[in-house]
Amino acid sequence: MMLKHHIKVAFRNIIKQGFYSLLNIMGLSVGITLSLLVLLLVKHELSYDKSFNDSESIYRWATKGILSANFINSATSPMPLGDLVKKYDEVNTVVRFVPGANNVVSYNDRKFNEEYFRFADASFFDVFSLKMINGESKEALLNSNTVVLTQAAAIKYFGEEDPIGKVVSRDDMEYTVTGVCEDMPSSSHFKFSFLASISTIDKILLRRADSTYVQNWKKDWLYLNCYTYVKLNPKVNAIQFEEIINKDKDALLLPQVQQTLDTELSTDSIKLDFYLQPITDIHLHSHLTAELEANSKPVYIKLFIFIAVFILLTTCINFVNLTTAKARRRFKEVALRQLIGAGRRHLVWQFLTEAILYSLSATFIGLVLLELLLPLFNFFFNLQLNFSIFTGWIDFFWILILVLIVSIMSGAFPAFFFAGLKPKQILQGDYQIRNNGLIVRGILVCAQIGVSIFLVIVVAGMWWQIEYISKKDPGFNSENVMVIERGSAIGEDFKSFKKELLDVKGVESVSACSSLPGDDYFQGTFKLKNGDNDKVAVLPLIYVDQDYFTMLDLTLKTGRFLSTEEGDSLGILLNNEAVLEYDIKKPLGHKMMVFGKKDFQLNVVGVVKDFHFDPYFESIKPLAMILMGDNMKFDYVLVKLDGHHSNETINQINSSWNHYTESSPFEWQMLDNKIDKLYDEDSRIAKIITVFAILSLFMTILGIIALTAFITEYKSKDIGIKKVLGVSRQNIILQIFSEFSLYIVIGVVLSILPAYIALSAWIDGYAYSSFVNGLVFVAAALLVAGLAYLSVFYQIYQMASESPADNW
Amino acid sequence: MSENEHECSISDAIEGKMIHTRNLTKIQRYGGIEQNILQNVNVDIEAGEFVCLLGPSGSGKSSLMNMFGLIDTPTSGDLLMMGHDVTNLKERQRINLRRGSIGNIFQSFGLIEELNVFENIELPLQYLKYNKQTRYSKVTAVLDRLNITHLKKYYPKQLDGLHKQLVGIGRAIVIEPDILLADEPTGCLNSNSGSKIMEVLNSINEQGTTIVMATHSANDADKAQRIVQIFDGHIITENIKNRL
Repeated sequence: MMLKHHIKVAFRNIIKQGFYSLLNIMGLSVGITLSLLVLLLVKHELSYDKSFNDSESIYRWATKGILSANFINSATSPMPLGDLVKKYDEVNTVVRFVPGANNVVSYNDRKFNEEYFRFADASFFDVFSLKMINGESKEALLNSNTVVLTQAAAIKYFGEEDPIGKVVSRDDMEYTVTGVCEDMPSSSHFKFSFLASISTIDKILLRRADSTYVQNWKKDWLYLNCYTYVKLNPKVNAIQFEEIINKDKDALLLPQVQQTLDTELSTDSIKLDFYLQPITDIHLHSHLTAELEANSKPVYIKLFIFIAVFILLTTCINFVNLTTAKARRRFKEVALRQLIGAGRRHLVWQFLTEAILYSLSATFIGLVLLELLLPLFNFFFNLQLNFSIFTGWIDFFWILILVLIVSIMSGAFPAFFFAGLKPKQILQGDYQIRNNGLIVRGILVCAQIGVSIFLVIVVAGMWWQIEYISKKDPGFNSENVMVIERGSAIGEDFKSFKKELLDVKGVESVSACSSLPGDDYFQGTFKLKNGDNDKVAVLPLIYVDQDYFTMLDLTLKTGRFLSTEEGDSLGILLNNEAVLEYDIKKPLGHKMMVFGKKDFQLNVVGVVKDFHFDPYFESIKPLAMILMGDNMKFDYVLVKLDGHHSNETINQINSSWNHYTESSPFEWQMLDNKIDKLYDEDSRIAKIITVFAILSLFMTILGIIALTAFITEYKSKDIGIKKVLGVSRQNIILQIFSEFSLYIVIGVVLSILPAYIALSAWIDGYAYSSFVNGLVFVAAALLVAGLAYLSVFYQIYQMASESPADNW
Repeated sequence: MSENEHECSISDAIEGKMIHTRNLTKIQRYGGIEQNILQNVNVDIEAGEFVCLLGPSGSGKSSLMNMFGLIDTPTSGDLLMMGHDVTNLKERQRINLRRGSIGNIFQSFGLIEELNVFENIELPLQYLKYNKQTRYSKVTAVLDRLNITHLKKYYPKQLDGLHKQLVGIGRAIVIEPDILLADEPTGCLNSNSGSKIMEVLNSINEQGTTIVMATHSANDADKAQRIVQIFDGHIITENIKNRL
């Protein structure tokens, strides 16, 4: 096979071709790096929840139906469901867990806010096969007030110490550490750092409520308060099992429904059904209310796979174009080799070896780039991808496959192209690159240009929309509003805390609320008496302090804002949508009955103009606001700062906070930033696609350079003759430009409709959107075309300036 | 080609003719127009001869050389090379016959620029699958014979025309071919270098190698044993001075 000879010649050729080799290797390595990055991303997205043993048999129970005239489709389920399904032979194990509120966990002087504190059944580790590093998984959560930590949490709180048997406290409750387990894989649809026994919830509730309530919360079928997971036995058909459960649950659920309807004197229908979701489907396919984490969409996976395939194809096409563009010199070599005795096989191997050598060196550079870029990529896009060539031999195996595919795809064409040449034609000088070679190349480059323009338009459209929502007036003013998390730490001292803060220089006003725009909110069911027509509706409900309205600059439509001075503890403020929902002409003075509490009526005192308390993905819903009572715990303290506040202001607020909360963690951020985070996922995707668009532009330009090299080669004789005949340089330049302008124009035309469709589909996810201006389409086309012309101008100018003798 | 076949073809050639053509015709089609490149060419070349095809540009000598080189096929007539009828051979058979039996020398030297002098000469031996040791000794012998051993590490672009052609000749003779085809070997050289090349070709012929050379230079042609003059695809005269 003369491998050594082929490698030697390939090396010398690569060095000899200088600029073209460099372009070729750069294109290949960028292509390989990008494809690997995208494939890692896809692999990560597809690997969600697959790391658990028997993950294909693990399901989550979700609930759908109608409750109080509201459609429900929730990731949560009622507690008694777990007790019911446990009794069936189809079931191997059941686990329920309840997420705890964001609260401070402390051990000695170490205190941190823990967002991922969950309460779970002892069977948790039977369903989710996490390795116990310390302690016994079977017994860890059997007793109340026990807790299992993840390894990361154990290090955070205990450092080198052995955590087993140590006691941590949270919200005046103590928990004994009974185990340390490995961290949850980053590709899981939920996270936890602390897992406490579910029986502890009884103790927490007992401190706050009566024992009847404690008994009831676990038996209430209409209270969707936990997440229920089930591991089914092998060969159980999930759909059939779902039907069995839905049939059997009615015997338990319906009496409670009837009882509720009787108590509430309501004629509303209540209907709940439960269904199983394979956990491996949750990350990509589940978008229910009360999801544990923001899930992704399969469309992104498709988009990424499309990008990876496109990048690889582009890489190969560019390689073929660059390799065969400067073919004239190689033609002679091929003819000589044939005359000296080279057979077709020798030549095919020679050019394949060259392609493999290119691919291998590009892969090496690509892997180095990947190693360097991955941390940046992870940081920039907020991902946790990891790649290890030495530990993950499977990764290595796939890379080899990738190299082989790239080499064969890109090497096969030049190999067979050159090996198929006839020495006679070359020696007689009548070799001609056939016109269809040019057309095929043109179409391939045309596709690249199309995809680049597609990506540029999509990226521009995405940023257009992101810019639009950042500029759109949400109906409230979030400027200079500081949000202090976990306001409930203040306890009942809010009034004096507020008074103290108002004295701080730089603080304009202080308020509090139960939820912020974009947060989950309480839901209240209200019955409005309107003549003979009573109407019941479930309204999102925010508890607020009276200064909330002026602080956020809400606009009053009619009536007045809620105020303690006016004695509005039984007042309610509605938004315009709520008024429309109840269909009342003159809302002021109407009585609203709290569903289930006949004697508790609220008085409508005002109506505010609609504002966006949900993200722009959703249209504005009806909303009710009620003043929070003195003893009520609230989630956030809001502090409006003047525009000139300094660090001193923040420090003073911090010290007042420490004073009132016994040094609870002081965690704050500006409301603006908090709202911006609602669109983080979309910004992240837009950023990723931007990077790919830029790189795809780079690859396309590489492709155009290759095509130009080919055209100039193809036309060299023509051009030489024209020069002899006295055709001006400008005319020659114009001729070559017009040769490939055709492909650019076709690329532009082909990309516009798909870009429009893709962008429309993405924007459909927003209830409030602005479709990108038509001029952006023109600008994207001009940008790509301009870059293309610019990048080949030198090449063409040089060609047009050569002496005609060089063209023969 | 196996060594047996190689020996066999040599013995055939010694017994018979090295090249034998009867009524060889080549017609080229350009769109709807046909042009006779070669018409009824009858040539016999015996083993050990040094024959020159002499004619102006477009006379058909290169076409005839291409057929002798097994690059092209005749439209009609018979062509026997080294005792084999090659008129209707398949491409693979032509390559096999060419490899190891025919050496080519080109007007523009035909060196591969990525390979140095030693490697250029070694290349045909690689295609013939000689082992490294044999290749080394054969190439060294050729370098020595042509007095270019000192240039063995040089690349073609570092050489002048004469030396390039010497390397070209070295590469052609390293396989010890039955026939050496030289197409205008002095076409790109000045007269001094040209004479030197002709001396080398003569000395190769003296060792027993059959040489067929195409040229338009009557001066060079004079150095051959026999001149076959071609004009417009016909053989017009045969000068057999050295036979007499």
